[in-house]
Amino acid sequence: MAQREVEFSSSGETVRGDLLLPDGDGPFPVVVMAGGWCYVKELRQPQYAAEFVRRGFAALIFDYRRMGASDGEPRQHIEPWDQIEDYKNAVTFVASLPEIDASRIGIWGISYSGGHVLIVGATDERVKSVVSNVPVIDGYQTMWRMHGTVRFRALKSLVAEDRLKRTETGGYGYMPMSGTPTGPNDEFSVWPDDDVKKVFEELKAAQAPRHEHRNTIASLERLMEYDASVFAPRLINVPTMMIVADHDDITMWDQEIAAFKAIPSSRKELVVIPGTSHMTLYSNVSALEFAAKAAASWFARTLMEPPTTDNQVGQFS
Amino acid sequence: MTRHSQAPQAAIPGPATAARLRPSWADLRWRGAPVAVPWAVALAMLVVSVILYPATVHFGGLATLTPLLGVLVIASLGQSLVIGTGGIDLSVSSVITVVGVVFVMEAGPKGGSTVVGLVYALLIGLACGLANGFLVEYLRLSPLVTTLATGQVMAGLASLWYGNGTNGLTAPTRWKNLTGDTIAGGVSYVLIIAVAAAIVLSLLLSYTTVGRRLTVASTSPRAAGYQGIRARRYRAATYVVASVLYALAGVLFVGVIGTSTLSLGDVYQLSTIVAVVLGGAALSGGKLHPAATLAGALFLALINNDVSASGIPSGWQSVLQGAVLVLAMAATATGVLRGLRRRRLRTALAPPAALAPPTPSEPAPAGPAADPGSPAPPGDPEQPDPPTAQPSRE
Repeated sequence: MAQREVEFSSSGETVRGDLLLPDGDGPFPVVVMAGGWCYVKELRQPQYAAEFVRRGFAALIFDYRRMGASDGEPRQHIEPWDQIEDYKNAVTFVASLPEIDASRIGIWGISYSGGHVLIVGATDERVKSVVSNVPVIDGYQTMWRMHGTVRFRALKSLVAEDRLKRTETGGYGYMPMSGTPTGPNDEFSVWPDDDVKKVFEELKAAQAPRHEHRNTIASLERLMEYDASVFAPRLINVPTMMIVADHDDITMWDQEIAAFKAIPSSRKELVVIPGTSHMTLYSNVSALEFAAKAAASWFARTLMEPPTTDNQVGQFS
Repeated sequence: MTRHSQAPQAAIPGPATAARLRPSWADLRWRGAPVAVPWAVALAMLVVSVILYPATVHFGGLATLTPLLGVLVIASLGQSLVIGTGGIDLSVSSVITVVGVVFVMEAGPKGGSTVVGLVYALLIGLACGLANGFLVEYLRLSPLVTTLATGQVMAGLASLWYGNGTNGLTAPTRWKNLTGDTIAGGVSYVLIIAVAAAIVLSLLLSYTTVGRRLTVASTSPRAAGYQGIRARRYRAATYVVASVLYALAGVLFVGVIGTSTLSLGDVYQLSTIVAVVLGGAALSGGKLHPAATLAGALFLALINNDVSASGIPSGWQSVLQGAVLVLAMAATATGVLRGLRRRRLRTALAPPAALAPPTPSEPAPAGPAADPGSPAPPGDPEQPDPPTAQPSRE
């Protein structure tokens, strides 16, 4: 396996990533990968990518603008439509590389980016296969459920105050990414769950020093406007695998499975990882391997040899 | 330069002049012994890591491991200077953090200047080091508590400046490219800078008058006093040089990471001490071996790398670091005890140094630093006179 650092421009900002290539001669099919909320490219994604490379795919893992190794300010500001644009610019970039086969590009996403890849797959015809892990579907409902009605009211005021302050001072307010509140008046985090915090802190110490466990308050406002479900019906003939954690109550498995059901194509597969939760996909290596193997198998089946009339006619004779 | 330093002086250990011309096996062993064991351990660890996780030496592994190792080495070299005097510097984490914040605050905004950022970083390192050196060596305050306090001040300043808009900024792209770059094979420039710093420090300590005086002042302020060396000045200077090294580590680290955070330097609080102790240094002070500190840092970085590559929870990193620190201290302490026993036989008739009354010509603490063999902890409560009772020679 060969690896090198790459960079490309996305809406004027320099975005950086790692390109992993399998042994042998190209051009290789490629999987474009980016992470979820406050992710950086070093966080868990190389373990997923290793499985793709083992099966003969190249992989590009990149940091969105304003995160990790990429340029852009304000830092840690998560603008989903900018991130979706980053995905598309990453596809343009890999397609231009001589080692890569531009006709065989797949995309992979996890958590927030699990939602993004449904949107990119539905709106970018260059994408030939999609794997969406534990995707965020409806940001507003997700936040309401995670925070509960009373805290959610206060959360909405926090967002409104920050908007006002932003207009007056031009400066962005920040809040922690996660953490269970200890009382009704405790500080807000986006994902009020100590399990999330613990896993991310461990991963920061072990493999991803660039991870910052904070984001702009404006990012939360964008999350509450986010809805990937409306794009599921547009995945008309893009092979899509959705990997869901059993009883996921962070990105809400009922919303995920409803979105999967809304994909009209029959070229789709739902994988429910037994006995897991949302965070198990990061913390438990065997669950991670399960998800990586399932995704690699999907790309091997749908992307290694894209359908043509010649290779498809055999099944009918 | 002072009058003292102009006087001709046998700065290099006397009989070694002949030995340097004809290096003998004994001489090599004498010079190499303190460095050989830490390096043997570190290289063994490297072999184990490469066998267990071959990716360690592939591009991706090196590109992740070497910049962080470089930062650790630079900060640990600073810590080793202070530990060499029998002191300890707990302000290291906060200096790295505040330097990161100030550098990004000055260099980060559009039209900001990297040079101004670097100058500010240097000034902060100097300021904190001067404060530490003055308080510990001239006012005789406990290094443990003093550096904790100055570190707290630095952390507070970092927090004030960080909230003031710096939290949304990034380090300048050119600086990120410089610190994030690697030579062929994936070895980071940061590590190369760190190794260069270790070599320069090594040469300074071994082959220059200033370096030899610093070594004497560190290991035995009493002996330094008898030679007319202003021991206190040299000992205070270790805190200054150390803080400047932390500032260098800070600006490089913030380039590697890209943004400053208020927890930027946190991991370097304990890990610099572990690296120095792994390099065989006793916390009660003694001779300095930058090459051994380098080995200690390499060993520590490899352990952390292996833990993260193995996929076991990162809590084990902390467990291992703590255990390794205890083991290394135990190993050093038993070595010290052996040395102490031998010397006790030789100097059975001489009164123990710790009981000798402080002489007016030697105002530096007669406690832990006076006797490198003494296992007494830094900041010994038996520190004799309050500062005012001591006539200053400066």
